[in-house]
Amino acid sequence: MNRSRRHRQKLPWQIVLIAAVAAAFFLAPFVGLIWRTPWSKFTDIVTRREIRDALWLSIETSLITSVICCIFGVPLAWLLARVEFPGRRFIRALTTLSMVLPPVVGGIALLFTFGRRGLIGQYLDRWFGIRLPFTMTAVVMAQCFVAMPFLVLTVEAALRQFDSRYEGVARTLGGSRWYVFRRITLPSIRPSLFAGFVLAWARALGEFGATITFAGNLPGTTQTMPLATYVALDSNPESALILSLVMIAIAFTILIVLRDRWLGRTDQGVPL
Amino acid sequence: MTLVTRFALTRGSFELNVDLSFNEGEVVAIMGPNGSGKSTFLHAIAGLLPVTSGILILDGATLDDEASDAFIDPTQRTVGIVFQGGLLFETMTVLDNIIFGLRARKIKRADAVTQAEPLISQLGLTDFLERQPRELSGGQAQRVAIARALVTQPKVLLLDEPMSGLDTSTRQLIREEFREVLAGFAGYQILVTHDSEDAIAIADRIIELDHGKVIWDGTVADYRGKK
Repeated sequence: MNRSRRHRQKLPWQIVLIAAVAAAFFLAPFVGLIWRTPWSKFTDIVTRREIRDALWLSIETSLITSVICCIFGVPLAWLLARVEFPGRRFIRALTTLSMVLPPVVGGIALLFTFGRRGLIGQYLDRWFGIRLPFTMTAVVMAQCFVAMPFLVLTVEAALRQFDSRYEGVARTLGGSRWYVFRRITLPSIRPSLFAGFVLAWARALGEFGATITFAGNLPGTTQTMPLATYVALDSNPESALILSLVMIAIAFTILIVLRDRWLGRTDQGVPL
Repeated sequence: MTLVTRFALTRGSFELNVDLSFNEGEVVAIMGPNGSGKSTFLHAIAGLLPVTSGILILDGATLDDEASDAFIDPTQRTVGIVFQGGLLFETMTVLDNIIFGLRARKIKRADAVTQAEPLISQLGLTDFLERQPRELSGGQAQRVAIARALVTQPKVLLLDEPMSGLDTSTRQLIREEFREVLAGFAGYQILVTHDSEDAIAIADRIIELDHGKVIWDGTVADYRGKK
């Protein structure tokens, strides 16, 4: 008790003040949102058909996206972390690029690549009759484009931290590369894999720019929650408020799950 | 029968350059400061790093030969390795650690357990089999690592700083145990350490490395004289 009181006296008030402004800035919009939410209409709006469709589509596509991100992202992360090959830095930079790129640019790039006249899209159309834009597949592709880096970077960091001598020992014991990867490497990075999965899922769930550009905004097919929310803001602000609230609830759940189960507690520093 | 290591291995600006041969049953301690190339040497023998030039021959069979592009995979080398701290697989029980090498060779679990039984009792690990590696003391973990390395009956046993990070009393104990286990092992035994007491206590022959080169090679008795 004595100790913590001494520490409190030493806290520089300037820093505390500025930090408090920052914290208030994050908090105020939520208070504003909750304050304006028409609670009486909550169930009415949430159970509306187009809202249910958007919610379901969001959950469905974002989960598919996260699984695809794992299937393709884990091998990519492994290559980046473990194998020296020409162009490795370029590929890592490329992976990170879609993280820092405005999503709408990603959407345009996807459109001009996989669109009907795109680099790859024209052949998909001509040879197989496949048209990707404005389909659910396009929603998933747009989400993968922006979400996969979160998984790749999380898993790559975990692999880098994981002492490669464990894999060396396993190899000398007769384990093939694939066996060692399955039995040793993958189980050891499981917490990070899960964290990467959840981060990618969260990013996919919130995807807006790339989706609306590449997949469009067709209710029931490509209109995900963020799109529905944006549209509702014009026509029916109350729906927009409630939809926002639903997404905040989902985001909070993600944070809590991540914090308590996988990222470890970070409660350290000067006690108040 | 001999293990011939006549090779150079370059990593960045560092170069390890050795011309050494080892006899079966001989316990050799490799000494030297950090960055002298001790661990790199073991990695090359285990096949975890390919040599840049030169050859590695075990009992007449080429393990690694840069000139003829021959390289035997670590899985096929019959080399066991024990690292500092044991480096046990944290996601498995002690038993699964020990039988890993047998399971990797597609031996059924029950058969693998039977096969590992004598080694487990010899090393006094019978009571620890269902524990997790993090529940073991430093000495126990080291014993499990030795059992894991010996279970596939390797011809070469490599020990990379196995006693570092143990407290003095444990160290004494482990040293005794090592001597016992190594005495019962008929193959090649190479121990890397930066501690001359460990080297003198366990080895028959001492090799000193510095900056990737051999600066001393002789018997323990000679080494004592030198000091």
